[in-house]
Amino acid sequence: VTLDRRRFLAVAGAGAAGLAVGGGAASFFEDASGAASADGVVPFHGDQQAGIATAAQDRLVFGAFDLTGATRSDLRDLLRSWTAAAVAMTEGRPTGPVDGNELAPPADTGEALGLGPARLTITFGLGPSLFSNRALGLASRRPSKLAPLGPLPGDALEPSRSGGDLCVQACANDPTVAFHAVRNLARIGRGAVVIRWTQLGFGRTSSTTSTQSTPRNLQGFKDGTNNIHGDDTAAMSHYGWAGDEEPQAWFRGGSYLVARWIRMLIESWDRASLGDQEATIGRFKESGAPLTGMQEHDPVKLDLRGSESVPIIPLNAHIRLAAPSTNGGERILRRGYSFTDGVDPVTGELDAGLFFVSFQRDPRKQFAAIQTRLGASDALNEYIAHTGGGLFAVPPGARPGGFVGEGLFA
Amino acid sequence: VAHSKITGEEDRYSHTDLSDFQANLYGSRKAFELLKPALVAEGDSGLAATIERRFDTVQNGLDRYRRPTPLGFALYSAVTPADRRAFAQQIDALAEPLSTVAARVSP
Repeated sequence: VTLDRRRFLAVAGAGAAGLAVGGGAASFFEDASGAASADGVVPFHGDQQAGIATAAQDRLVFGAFDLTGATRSDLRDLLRSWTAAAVAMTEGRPTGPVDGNELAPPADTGEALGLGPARLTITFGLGPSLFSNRALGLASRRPSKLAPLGPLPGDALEPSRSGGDLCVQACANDPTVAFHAVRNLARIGRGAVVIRWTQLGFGRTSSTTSTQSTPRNLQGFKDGTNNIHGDDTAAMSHYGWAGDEEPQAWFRGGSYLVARWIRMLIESWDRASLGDQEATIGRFKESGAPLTGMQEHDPVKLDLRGSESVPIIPLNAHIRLAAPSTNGGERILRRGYSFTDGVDPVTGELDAGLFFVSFQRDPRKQFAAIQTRLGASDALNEYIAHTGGGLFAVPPGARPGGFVGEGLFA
Repeated sequence: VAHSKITGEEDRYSHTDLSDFQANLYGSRKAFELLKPALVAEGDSGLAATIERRFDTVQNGLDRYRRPTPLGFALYSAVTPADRRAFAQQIDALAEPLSTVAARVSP
């Protein structure tokens, strides 16, 4: 299964092969306007961490980690080392020398050499369990909205792929670059952390800037037409970033990440009629237009009724229940990826779906409220299952010379 | 330190894994102790301390499976899935810094 997946990704990734360069070439990849190319550098440093409001790349490798008896100073050392490695890797440089000492294992594992930065972003998050770990003594630094969401309607989360003390979201336009990032961070952290779970995403399912076209998820529908765009700074400060209301001053400018495995029951979906599929989502499959419109970006008219006053967008359609107007105006920034994990060993069916990632300012008021409504009534529930995931506080970005999460120790 | 000792790949039929694992661990530790003075002389006493701490972690986990049997340990089949995973991770955590010792003490 693993081999097949790797082979598939190799084929799928062939079109996106990066420029062959040694490294340290940040300026080489950015044009005069500062806009990065598909293979270029996304700056690691900034007020916010990259990988949230920055344009979604094509590939994802997500890793959750648990601390193993680490002390507070071990955690600080880890975050400092991870930040240094992330700075290097996002600039297309290895984490250390590959060549030079025959007797020592190469410091960097080497598989990303020559692939370039590939717009790699590495985004670090902190799980609720990190703050309830008494040995670390971080309870007084806990971001105010970082409380476990508890089981929501329809949840069937497996513990082995849920939660984690820390998370790393690595996104890039090359799958090997993203994998290399999580692999090397795991290696650097060995002894302080163990990997709890990982997931690889092979295709983005959201447009996160106003210039990206809307991709399709594995159900074949355009997903995220009305997503928050990261370049909409007003929407980001309203829905995305922790602001002055956050009592933990160190966390202002941070965000909250919710991850969910949404397994799609592909076989059932594929034999649903086109009309059923469109009624389930509330959009036309090919055009992506709402059932009340002609073009993808036409307004979703939830109140429009057809013959015998039946709502044109059904009452249990996905886009109705997920719409901001159904949810007290709440919105989230979605940044999910399609995944496949081969074959379900029990049923022999495809194990595939959406690895959902969202960012928001208040996970309970935003994600949990929306998902509670969806989990209870969404017509899509017949074809999906939430099987794992996590909630993480994503600290603000680091300045040059600093490290992500530094505010925990100030 | 052989990873396969604890994943049960080596002695699937004879079930001597844990005693074998212990012998392997003793051997590795002995080898490390021979190199330790050179490591400390190179100014790497922090690395030496890390490695010793991680040897202790693995040993403590293994000690919990000591039994009054001829081989001195429980059968591998008695090791819980969670402990198999923990052993493998602890060995990885030990072997990572251990793998850097040779280059540091070589002239």
